[in-house]
Amino acid sequence: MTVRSMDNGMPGRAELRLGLGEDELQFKASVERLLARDYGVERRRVALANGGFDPDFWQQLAELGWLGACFPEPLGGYGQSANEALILLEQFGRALVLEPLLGAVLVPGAALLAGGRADAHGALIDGLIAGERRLALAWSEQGRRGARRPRLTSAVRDQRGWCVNGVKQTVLNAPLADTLLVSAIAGEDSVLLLVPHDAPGVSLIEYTTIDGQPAADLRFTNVVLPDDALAAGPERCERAMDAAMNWGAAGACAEALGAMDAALELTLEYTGTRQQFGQKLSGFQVIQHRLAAMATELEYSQALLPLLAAHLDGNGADRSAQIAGIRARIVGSARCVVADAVQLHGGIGVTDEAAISHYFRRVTALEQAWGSARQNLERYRQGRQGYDPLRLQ
Amino acid sequence: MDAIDTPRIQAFRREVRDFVAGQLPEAIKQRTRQGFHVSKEDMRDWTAILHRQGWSAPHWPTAYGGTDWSPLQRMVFDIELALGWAPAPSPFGLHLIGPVIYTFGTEQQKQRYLPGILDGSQFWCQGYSEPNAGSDLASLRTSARRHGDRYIVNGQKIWTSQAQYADMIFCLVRTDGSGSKQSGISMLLIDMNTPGVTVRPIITQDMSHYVNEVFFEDVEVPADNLIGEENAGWRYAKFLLENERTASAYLPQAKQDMNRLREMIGALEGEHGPLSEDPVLDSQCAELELELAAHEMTIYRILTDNARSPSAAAASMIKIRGARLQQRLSSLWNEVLGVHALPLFTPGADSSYGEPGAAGAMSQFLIRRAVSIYGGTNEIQHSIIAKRGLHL
Repeated sequence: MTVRSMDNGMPGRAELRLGLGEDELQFKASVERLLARDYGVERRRVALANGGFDPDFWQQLAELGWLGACFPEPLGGYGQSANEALILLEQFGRALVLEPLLGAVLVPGAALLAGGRADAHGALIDGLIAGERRLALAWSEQGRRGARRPRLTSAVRDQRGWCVNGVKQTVLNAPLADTLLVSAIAGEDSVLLLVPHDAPGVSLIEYTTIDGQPAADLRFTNVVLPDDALAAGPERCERAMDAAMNWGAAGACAEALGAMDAALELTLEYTGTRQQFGQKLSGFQVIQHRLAAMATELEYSQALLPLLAAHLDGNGADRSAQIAGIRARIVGSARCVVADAVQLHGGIGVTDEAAISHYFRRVTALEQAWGSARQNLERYRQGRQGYDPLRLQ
Repeated sequence: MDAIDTPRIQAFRREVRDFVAGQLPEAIKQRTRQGFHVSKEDMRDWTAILHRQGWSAPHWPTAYGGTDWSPLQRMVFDIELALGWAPAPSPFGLHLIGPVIYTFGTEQQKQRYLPGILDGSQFWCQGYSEPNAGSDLASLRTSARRHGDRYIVNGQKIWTSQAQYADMIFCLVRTDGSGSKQSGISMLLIDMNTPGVTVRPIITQDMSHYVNEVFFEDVEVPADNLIGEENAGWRYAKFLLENERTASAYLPQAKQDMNRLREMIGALEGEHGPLSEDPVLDSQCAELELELAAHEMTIYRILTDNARSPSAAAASMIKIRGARLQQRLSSLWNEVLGVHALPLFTPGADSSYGEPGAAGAMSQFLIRRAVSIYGGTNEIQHSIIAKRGLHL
């Protein structure tokens, strides 16, 4: 969909649509149904215990065709607009789906498309859509917060192709990926390279994140790659990273929206059941006011989603800044909502056993993954071109 | 209000600082710096070192092994310990039950329990909350029936910190169910090794084991282990809770945490150069510093107000604000680290991955959602301020 909107020749943002169309509503309903039926607490618990991934569920997503959400039809996907992917991710956030649709497909997929060499990597894209391949975007480096330009990983071109050396740190989903999409400094420039996870000279230290997802620190020692490992050359690298991070930011928003919706629901349920001082917690005015404020925060966040989709589908000059700003806002709200949700649960809310703590941890992770909320605010501050959601001329 | 930065206080500060620098074992210091929950061994060993100096319980009366320091001196002492990365001793003996025992206990109880608390060899835990008695603590149901010279205890406690380390638990139990909720409660000291006591771990969202459930099944407790009078336990419980809230004011740790924040910022760079030159971040740090300054001065004012113990309302105020500071400071660590905040670290685990300095900090970030819940939630504290401070 990124490609479609970039190629449609229309300047600025895509059409701003409030609400979903008929097809989109049906799609949303089918996602909800599937997750309610097939992605229960128990299945998730098993996946958590097995390194944060359920291969059968991933295969199911592929068979439903959902892994092609960000790829345009000519490349085998079904991406019509950003809405499909956002719908999917919002429901994933609600159900706390562990499997990394965003990290293994959408974010690196956006980089591949914007890198301008998607045609050369058709087999990889086919594999991603079919659920047979998975990527991880390796961009973050030690001692550096949110710096997109690589410094500690280098790529040198010689007659054999590329030779990669260096380190990446906190690479989300890396243990699940067969191929790493690695940013590297090449002379004065940056490039994105596709590195097979089992290429000689690649080593991983694997661990899980606070929200139960696999991640790794990576080391590359004289990793030799063919010429066609290039996913984005110097002239397209920044654009590819922008596209990836835009999708990361937007996806984080969608997941956070689902998560805060579920967190509010859980908290209403809990405070409506738990009794202290002879009445339900939700009977106390101080609790009611807190719940009301949470609901308001959620409403305000949901309202921004169409604007986010319009910017994602568009190609306005300040597109990245607008997406970053919306992300800072939505994820900031989500942080407050899940923190309040934990508070209203009391002691049980900070236990591993309680579902609400998993929402808290997920939102914390969403806040920091793909560029932190605060950093996104800074990006918006510097890059925005005026304020006007309707863009009236 | 007295001058608080007198030469005498400054000299005292230096004395304590030198003591910590000379006596705190390097290994314990490094582990404390990491920021995970302090281990039983480190708490025990450091308390023993303090005890040899006569400094393990400065807030106790000298007759019981304490010091004659002023409240301000004691705070300065705590601050210097924290800034030197000394681990906080277990609070349950020294801060919670110790003062109850020397204030309300029998001679025999004082002789039996105070020495082990002072030298750090005996660990205590607190049996207050129950599954259905959290904020509404007085509705607790764990029962103690008198049988001759013993009580038979049945019931369950929850959120019991350090129960897995503890030799003893001080428990609120119901000895009379006939009157008002508060009137039938007693305080019992129970040996954790008594048959019928079972400890079950609760894993918190930082994936650590710190709190527990404690079950009592026909546990026989000598009647001599009753604190004060039967059915007067609520009075002792409140005495203790107010101490807990003052002890939770979190000033020394806040200063330690602020140092941690500065170290982290100094070690990282952002998109446009060193994070230390990031104006947005610096402005957030500045705000926190001012909040901390107000917190610190409020505490000094309470402490030096004719050395009276703080009123319930003041204790609740600094509890709420201390909790907020802890959460804000640790949220900022999170923000400073960005994506590097995300690896899960557990104490003692392989530290070959992730950002140096991130491990304990993130663990703290996660567990600190509890600081506005334990020891009386923010909601309860606000009600106390309204009722006892504003007489509403």
